[in-house]
Amino acid sequence: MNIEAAIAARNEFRIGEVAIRFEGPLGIISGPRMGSTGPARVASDDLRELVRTDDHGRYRPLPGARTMPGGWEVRCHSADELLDAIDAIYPLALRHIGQHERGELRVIPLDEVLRRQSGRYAVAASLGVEGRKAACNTLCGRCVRTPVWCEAALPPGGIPCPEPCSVLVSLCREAALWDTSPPAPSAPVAGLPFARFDIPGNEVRETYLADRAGAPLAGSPSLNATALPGDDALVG
Amino acid sequence: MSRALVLAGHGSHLDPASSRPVHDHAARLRARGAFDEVHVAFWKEEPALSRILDAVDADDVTIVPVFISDGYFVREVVPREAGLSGPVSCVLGKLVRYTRPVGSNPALADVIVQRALEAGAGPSTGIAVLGHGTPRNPGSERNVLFHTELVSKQNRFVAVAAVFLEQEPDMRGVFGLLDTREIVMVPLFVAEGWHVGVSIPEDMAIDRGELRRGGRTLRYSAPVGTHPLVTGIIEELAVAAAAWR
Repeated sequence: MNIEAAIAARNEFRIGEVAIRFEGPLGIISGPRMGSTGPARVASDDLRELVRTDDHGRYRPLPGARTMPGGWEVRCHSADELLDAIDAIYPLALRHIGQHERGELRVIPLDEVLRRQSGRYAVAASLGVEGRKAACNTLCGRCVRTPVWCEAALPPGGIPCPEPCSVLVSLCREAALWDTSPPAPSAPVAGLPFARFDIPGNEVRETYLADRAGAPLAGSPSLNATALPGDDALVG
Repeated sequence: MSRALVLAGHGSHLDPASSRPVHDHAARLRARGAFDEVHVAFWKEEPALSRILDAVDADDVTIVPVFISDGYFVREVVPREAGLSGPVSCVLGKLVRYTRPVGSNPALADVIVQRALEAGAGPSTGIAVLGHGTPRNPGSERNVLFHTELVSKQNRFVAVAAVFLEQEPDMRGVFGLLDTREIVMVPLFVAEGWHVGVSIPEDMAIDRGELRRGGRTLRYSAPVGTHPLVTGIIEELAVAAAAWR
């Protein structure tokens, strides 16, 4: 999907969890879960702050997480305003889509990202291939971006993720520590901070631990159709 | 040749307030128009430092680290993530200049003074410049002590002292360090994040910006890094770097 061409032709399209349509001179971005009462109108300048938290006020450190707050729309008066608004929702997504289409996307694998870590994150590089696979499944499965860094196939209209993000590095760090001293599993607790992987009950933590133990986690969010990474992609 | 400015910040996986001032400074710099492009990039948020050149069209890029300390993040993490080799690098075919951090600029002392005045400081007030500090990195305190000395040399306040969150002299000993009846404590931090907004007020028992003890009063100011004057410091650092080749 060439988004700039879609905007120029005023064709509606979707990116991640949001939909874009055109009415007269306006380009309108709609969030998910539009209720029957009509959406809340949000100024494009306020959009970045709006999408920083989910419907329960919980911080979203991973902009691609499938926890976008619902029931809003932004009315943009120019193509530039529309592009800036999409960039506020999914930083660099439009750039990466365009670079992927042109075959110019710089792809950096997990092994390279973990090897360059230092300080408290240096230990993340010691996470083995099964742990890396479980971490990717757990976290990337919650994100609208497709991890092309692990050779996952980009679906039509998808957003390529060219390089493991800092949240995944953080999960790999905790997972490497769990490998040496496995914690007891706990029931997931809704509402805990998304990236507090050190707290028992954190949804990502408990899903990862259940995956590693080979046990299904009751009540866990279902993963998307992200292709499982191959071992080679995870160890470089 | 068009020029881009990138503001490099820490960001946070836990605190949405951490990156807000960096976005605010970037918005002001875009409005000023001195650079063709103004971007932000973070260690712990998106857009990531490691991908920031993906966003840049210009071939001439200046990165200003919006950090207080000239320590681990400024000297190791940001250059590594952005692929820099020194103050001037060639990265992905672009000329990239990397300035000293905001916290190393002497003009930041004037922002500390402004924050103190905004919190009601007068000539008889003692000023506590509060830094993070860490015993793991002796360089962490350097800019805090530097600015404390600059504020002291302005002779606007009867006493000025540095206190720290994670090293000595500990912030909780501020009433022993300054003997004035009124104290204003100015957090030399970038953001009104978890430390400034939560942990420090809790540790100090500061209630609604104020702490009273034995007839003495401590007022807690807004952090230095959120002040609009910091936008000018960022621009000054970037403009000064323009001559580097």
